[in-house]
Amino acid sequence: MGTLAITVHRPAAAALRRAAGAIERRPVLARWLLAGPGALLAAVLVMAAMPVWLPAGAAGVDNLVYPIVLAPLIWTVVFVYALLENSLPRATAVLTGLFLVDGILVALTATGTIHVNAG
Amino acid sequence: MIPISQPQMKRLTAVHGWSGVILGLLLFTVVITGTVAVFADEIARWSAGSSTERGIDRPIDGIVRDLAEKLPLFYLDDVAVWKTDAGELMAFFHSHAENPATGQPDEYGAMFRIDPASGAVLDRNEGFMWKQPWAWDPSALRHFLVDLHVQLYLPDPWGLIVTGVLGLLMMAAAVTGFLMHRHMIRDLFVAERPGARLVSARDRHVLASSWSLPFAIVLAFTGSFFSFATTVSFPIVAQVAFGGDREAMAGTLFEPPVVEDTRRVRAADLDAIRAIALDEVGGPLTFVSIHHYGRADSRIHVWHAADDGRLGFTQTVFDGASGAFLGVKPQVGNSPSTGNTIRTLMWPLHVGDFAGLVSKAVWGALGATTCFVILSGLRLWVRRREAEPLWRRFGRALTVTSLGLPVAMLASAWAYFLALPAADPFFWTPLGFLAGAVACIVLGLRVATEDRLRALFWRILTWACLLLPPLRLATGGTSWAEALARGHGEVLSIDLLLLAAGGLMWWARSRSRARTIVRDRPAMEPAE
Repeated sequence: MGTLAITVHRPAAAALRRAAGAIERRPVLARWLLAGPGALLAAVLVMAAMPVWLPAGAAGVDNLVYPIVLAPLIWTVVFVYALLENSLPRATAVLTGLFLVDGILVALTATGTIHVNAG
Repeated sequence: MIPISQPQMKRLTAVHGWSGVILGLLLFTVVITGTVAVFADEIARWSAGSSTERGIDRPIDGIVRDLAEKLPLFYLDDVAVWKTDAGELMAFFHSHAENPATGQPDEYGAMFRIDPASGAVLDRNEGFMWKQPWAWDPSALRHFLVDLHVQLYLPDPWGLIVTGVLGLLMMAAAVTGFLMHRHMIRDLFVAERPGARLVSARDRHVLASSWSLPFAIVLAFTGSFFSFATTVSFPIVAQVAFGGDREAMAGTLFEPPVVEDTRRVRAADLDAIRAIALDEVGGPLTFVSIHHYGRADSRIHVWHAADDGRLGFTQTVFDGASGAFLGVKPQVGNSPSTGNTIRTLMWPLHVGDFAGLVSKAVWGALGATTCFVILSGLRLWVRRREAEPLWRRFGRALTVTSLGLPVAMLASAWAYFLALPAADPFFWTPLGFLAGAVACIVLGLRVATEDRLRALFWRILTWACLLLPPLRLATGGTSWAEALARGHGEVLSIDLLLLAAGGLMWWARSRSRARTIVRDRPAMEPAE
């Protein structure tokens, strides 16, 4: 069983190690991309996906108001994280996770598979 | 404090410095105009030639009813009624149509300027009136200064996007500045080290930024919210939640549900509604909007300015046919919610308009401190690099912007008052600013030494401040006696502030020259 797991995961782990190595070889460029366009895109996607998972509240508007009001704060949090995180591969993984999760939520909403919370 | 490693501190310092250097001068422009714009209403009343009580305080039903009876039904779709800072009543009867100039839906209708005492129509204009401020804003000066702050006089939506980005930049500078502070409490009481050295300048920057840090974060957050809300955030959320239908989302957020009923009925008495609104919530009433005037499904919204302990605007809703009071409507949604509370707080937090002139004065002072923080930070950056010609030139640009911008703003006020009696102030006010700005840039390019340039700007600022109140009075502005008799302190206050600023600059300049003479004298003695 142990042998099987190693056999299956070794290429993926090697690919991840190679990606992490590539990121660490260009630290300035990677930091610029993460804190610049990366933080901006992550903030937009988090804001766009918020109406899906946030509760609408008693008045049925909280999930629409929060993303609009909090947009600058969301960007600031992501930007400062991308700036302070010492491990660039980890920062890349976190931001990629944000892109994927929020991007999928937005895509599912756009195709009508899921709906935003209504009051 | 948050533990910060050496590499993290290096990155924070780089972002803090470079973010300021790249867009700091634009940020200074937005903050200094914002500091002035905090007093937009006071400036409007000071500059409009006459001043008035805030709020709709006279009967309006007869006036609105008479006008509505003479208009086709198209114009009765929506009616807006308010009072200008010059004391005139405005009524805008309108519907919605595509504006050919922008290709966007817009409000088209007939706008009346009315004498509130006699009800006489003083002026009537028709068109997409919100795009024609000369018809409804009595102060071109206020309009220009607010526009400069909100969108740097750039076209829609780019101006808002630029100021939004500047807001984010300010957030980045403030948050990185906060994280860089190793001794936050000690820095609140740091004393400037003597000798006019680099460390002295740094102490001043640290002291001012420590005190203004929370304010800078609040200002940057609320400012970028206002810039991005309509241009970026609202369309994105509307796309996800309503498939891109912005009107549907606006309806959910701002409109109470009404069952359509197109029958024509007699419209409710607006004066009775005004009395109930005052009774239920209190004054001053600043705006009345009537949806479907004279229809069975009509709704009337009355806006109450922040007062009597209310932090933001409050809205009361009435049945436009029966006049029945339907309740207090939150700004967002139709029942109280946390989202509405947060949204309502954004405006008073941004402009300080929640406790009258006192809170505005605090906001103005903190805005001025933020201006000092930006300039002292940039000056520090330049002083550390003044051996390099490029940064010396940047230092010159910093002097031209920091002193030239107030000169240009005063030039816009001069142009406004000079144009008021005979020309179009909406044309001349921005032109005055432009002329002032160009003149300052030319001076910056031609005057050889930094000291001479500063002295020149200082003299211009001194005289521009000292002579502005006499110019205002000479061009027909409210006299001090009239303002005092009506109890309108802003006319006297702004005039006195300008005279005090001019006087203070005169005194500071004289003192600085006296010091220079005393300092130079011993050096000459051996030669003598």
